[in-house]
Amino acid sequence: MSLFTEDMRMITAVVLEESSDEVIKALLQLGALDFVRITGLSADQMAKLSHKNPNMNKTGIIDMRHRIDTLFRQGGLSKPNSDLLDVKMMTRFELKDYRAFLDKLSRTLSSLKDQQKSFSQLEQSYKEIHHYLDEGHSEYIEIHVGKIQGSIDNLRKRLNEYSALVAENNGIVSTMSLRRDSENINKALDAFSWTESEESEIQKIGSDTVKEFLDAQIVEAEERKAELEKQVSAKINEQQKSLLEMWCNLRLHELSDQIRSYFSYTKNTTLFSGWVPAKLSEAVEAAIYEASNGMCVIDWTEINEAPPETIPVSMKSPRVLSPFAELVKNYGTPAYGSVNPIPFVAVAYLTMFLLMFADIGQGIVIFLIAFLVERGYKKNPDKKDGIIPRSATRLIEYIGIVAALGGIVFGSNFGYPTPFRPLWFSFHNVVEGTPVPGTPVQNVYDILKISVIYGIVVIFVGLLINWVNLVRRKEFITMIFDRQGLCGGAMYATGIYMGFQYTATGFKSLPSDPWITPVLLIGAFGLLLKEPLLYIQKKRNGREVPKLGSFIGSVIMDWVLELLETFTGYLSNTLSFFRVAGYGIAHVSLMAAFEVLAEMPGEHTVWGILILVFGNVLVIALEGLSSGIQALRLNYYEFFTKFFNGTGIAYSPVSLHSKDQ
Amino acid sequence: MNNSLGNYEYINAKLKARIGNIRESKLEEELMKAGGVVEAVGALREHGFEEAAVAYDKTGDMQMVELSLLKQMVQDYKSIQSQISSMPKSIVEVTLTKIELDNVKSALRLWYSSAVHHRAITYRTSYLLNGKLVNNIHLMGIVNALSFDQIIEAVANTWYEPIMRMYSFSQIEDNGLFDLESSLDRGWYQLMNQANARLKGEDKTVATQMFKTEVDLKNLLMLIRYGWFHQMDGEKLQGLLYPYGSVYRNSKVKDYLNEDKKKRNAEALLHTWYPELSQMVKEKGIVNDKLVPMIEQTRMVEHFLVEKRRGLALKGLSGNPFTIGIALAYFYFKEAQYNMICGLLGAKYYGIDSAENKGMF
Repeated sequence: MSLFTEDMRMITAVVLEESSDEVIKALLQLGALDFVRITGLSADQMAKLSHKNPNMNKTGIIDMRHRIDTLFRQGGLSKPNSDLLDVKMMTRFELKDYRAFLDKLSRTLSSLKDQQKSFSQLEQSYKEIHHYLDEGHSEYIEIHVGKIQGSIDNLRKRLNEYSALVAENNGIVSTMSLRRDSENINKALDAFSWTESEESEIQKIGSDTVKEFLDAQIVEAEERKAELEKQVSAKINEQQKSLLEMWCNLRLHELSDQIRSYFSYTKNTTLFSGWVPAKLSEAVEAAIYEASNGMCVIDWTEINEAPPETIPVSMKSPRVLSPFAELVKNYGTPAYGSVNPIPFVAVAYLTMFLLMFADIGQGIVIFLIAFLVERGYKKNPDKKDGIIPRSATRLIEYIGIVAALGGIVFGSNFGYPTPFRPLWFSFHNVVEGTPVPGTPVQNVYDILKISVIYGIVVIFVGLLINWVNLVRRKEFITMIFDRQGLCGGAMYATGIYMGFQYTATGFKSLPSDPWITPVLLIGAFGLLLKEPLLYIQKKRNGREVPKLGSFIGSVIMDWVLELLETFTGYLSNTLSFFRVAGYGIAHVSLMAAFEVLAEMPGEHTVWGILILVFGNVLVIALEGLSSGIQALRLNYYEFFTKFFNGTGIAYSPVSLHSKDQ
Repeated sequence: MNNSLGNYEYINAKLKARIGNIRESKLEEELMKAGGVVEAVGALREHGFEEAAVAYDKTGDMQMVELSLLKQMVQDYKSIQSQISSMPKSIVEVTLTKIELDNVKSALRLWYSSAVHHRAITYRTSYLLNGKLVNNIHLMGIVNALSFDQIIEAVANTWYEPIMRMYSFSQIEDNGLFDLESSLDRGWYQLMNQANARLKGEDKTVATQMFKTEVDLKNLLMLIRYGWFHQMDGEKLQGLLYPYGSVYRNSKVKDYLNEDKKKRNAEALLHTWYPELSQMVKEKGIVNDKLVPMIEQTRMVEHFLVEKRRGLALKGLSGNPFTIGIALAYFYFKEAQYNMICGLLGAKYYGIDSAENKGMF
């Protein structure tokens, strides 16, 4: 892991056009180049460059892949993913051939579905009759028992249209149909010279026979229907290999065309350019060299030759910190060359959560829930995100672990004080007003003090990171005279000193140290100097500056506002950390309230246990969520605002694992 | 807290988000691009219609998919009903009654097919939505009725009963179901009008405005479709119109209806409310062949009015966020989505290609 964003280099290469396809494959396999369009040549040279239309219709390719995705889902298979891609699999193909293949498969499936539909409709017809029998609506049913002249199969065929059932038992024929169809049924029976049996015994046997026949018909229709459902899946499974090959080939061509779109062509050569992490530059050079059989010209541009705002930013961090990389990404991309914020966010986020939600048992429960949800997603990659999205599972596991650690530090387990001595102090004892004598934390004010000190540390770390970033960017004026620079930092430090002294006197008097006023005045004056100094610097560098008259007016206005913001901003930023203590206290108080409620029905009763379980569930769900959100909020608003310059462009190479559209 | 704010702050935020999802959904595009029914149904899975897709897996029957979608929509409306305060609930109830009415009409059509035309309806009854929606309707009683009295019995003690009583078996046998269905539709609009009248404040203004505009559009559509295209008798058509809104009361409509049915001037009628549509109809009418442009013109008018209805729903979205307007807009978009899915699935089933689909939807 690097403390700063990764060093980048820009490659510009020229290869023979005949080897451009091989170069594309090599670059795709390597997946390290964030392409940029060729610019900066003279108008004459640019005029000689041309671009080629993609080999394939991009929309057509994407649509085709989506069709395959859909077929996979219909077949109960996992959707193909980029892990299957290998440039060696890439072959030439015609979209129309693929389309024909898919259409044919689709037609086969539709035909199976039509057969299934017939059985389903038959089943529904029989089930309607069955439903009336079950519900006692015999008025809708008509049963005939008797004899016919002619073939029973012919009678069945004749009555098939009405889904009437025809059964036979020892020469006795029985039919069951719906009374609404009686006119047509009777006509058909007449055609077979139907003789209705008058004997009640035969009527009963015939009636039972046809009811049994009805049950059997329903079972048969259900089985045939289910069988056809399986056949649909089987048909897709049969074609799985071909479909996978097609999917991979489509995706590879899609990515290749994406790379090709950045290429510029002369009569015989191909030019392209892009950013690469410095440590991969040799590998990229070697890949181009090999793919072009050495027939290439490669030129490297170093970062000092390019405007910093055009350099893409890559932040490397170990996999273990990936959830925090996501948190940073959601906020923005830092400027190139600045401090990598990921490890700092990891520490800040986890410690904030630990202070707000410290409980061994509840932490373990949170961890286990997230762990099981993560396993569920791994087992079923196509499963849609539920209440806990897959991107959050790892983060929730971490906060579960730190919550449990917090429980050890502050002595809490499922809302009860731990039987062993906490590592630092018992939150329960302090909140309930029974602190252990001699320990450093005696009341809730001490807890509030801890949270404020913690906040001050976080804010100062933010300022330090900012100063490092500004030094690296050689923005010394801003570093010294900005609100987030040394002047602002000095004023903040003085303010903190004054605040602590004021509290130490029982909120009676402010400190009167002789250095305080000069520091505050120098700081305030320093803030006033920033804009004029930047103005002079800009002017010296030949950059455009506003008119002096209007500039002076705006400087004074800005300064007044800046001063106000410095005082109120730092104050509110620091006080914002009270929430850390607030949540910690609320956690203990809530659980204490549930303990009292649980004791109300009597000691160790089922109701008492249920109340405690409910209390724990509620606290885990609501307070866990709130603490997570508050920790994020503190990071984004109190920490990031001190140093995070979200003006960077994210490094986004075209690779086999590029984000699917 | 402001009452309307309290009533709607939660549910309307939720509905707005859902409307956003419907409008941004790529489902329509995916359905159009699907290579066949199986792929089209597969696309439903990704867009929150898993149950409908499973219904297809189990039956292979598109109408079962439609039934499943309808059930999902009913469930959705019922959950909205449970989340808004007492008064506007009647609006949701009337919306559910519309679904119930369509279900009753489907049952009546099945009965008509069986009792009047003596055709087998077998499995088709399984496509009806069973269970109580708003009123106690004995659907199977309608389908299996051996007399018209049994149908009236099946809808006893509901608003359907007095309307059904106005008809007899012989009338239906002679004239078909059109008149009965039109009467039921008018009955539903009356329910809607009554529900709007019971609303208060801005809810009432918003709902009444949307209602009147919709009725105007429906009446115009009837005047064009039946009066101009089918050249229906003026008196009969007058009876079919919904007695609300500005179109119904306009003297030009009366003149239009009293005119010789072959000489009715649709352009002039449309010009009163939508001059731009009138111009479009006029331009289309230049083609020599008379029948084709008339179909095209009617289609164009229908399409235009559907777009107007959509515009009305969008207007409801951009108004005060704490009124019933958002819920009404949601019902519109939900129904439009349901119709779009059913239409496209049907098109896939019958092999109509995507270019034609686009024209149709």
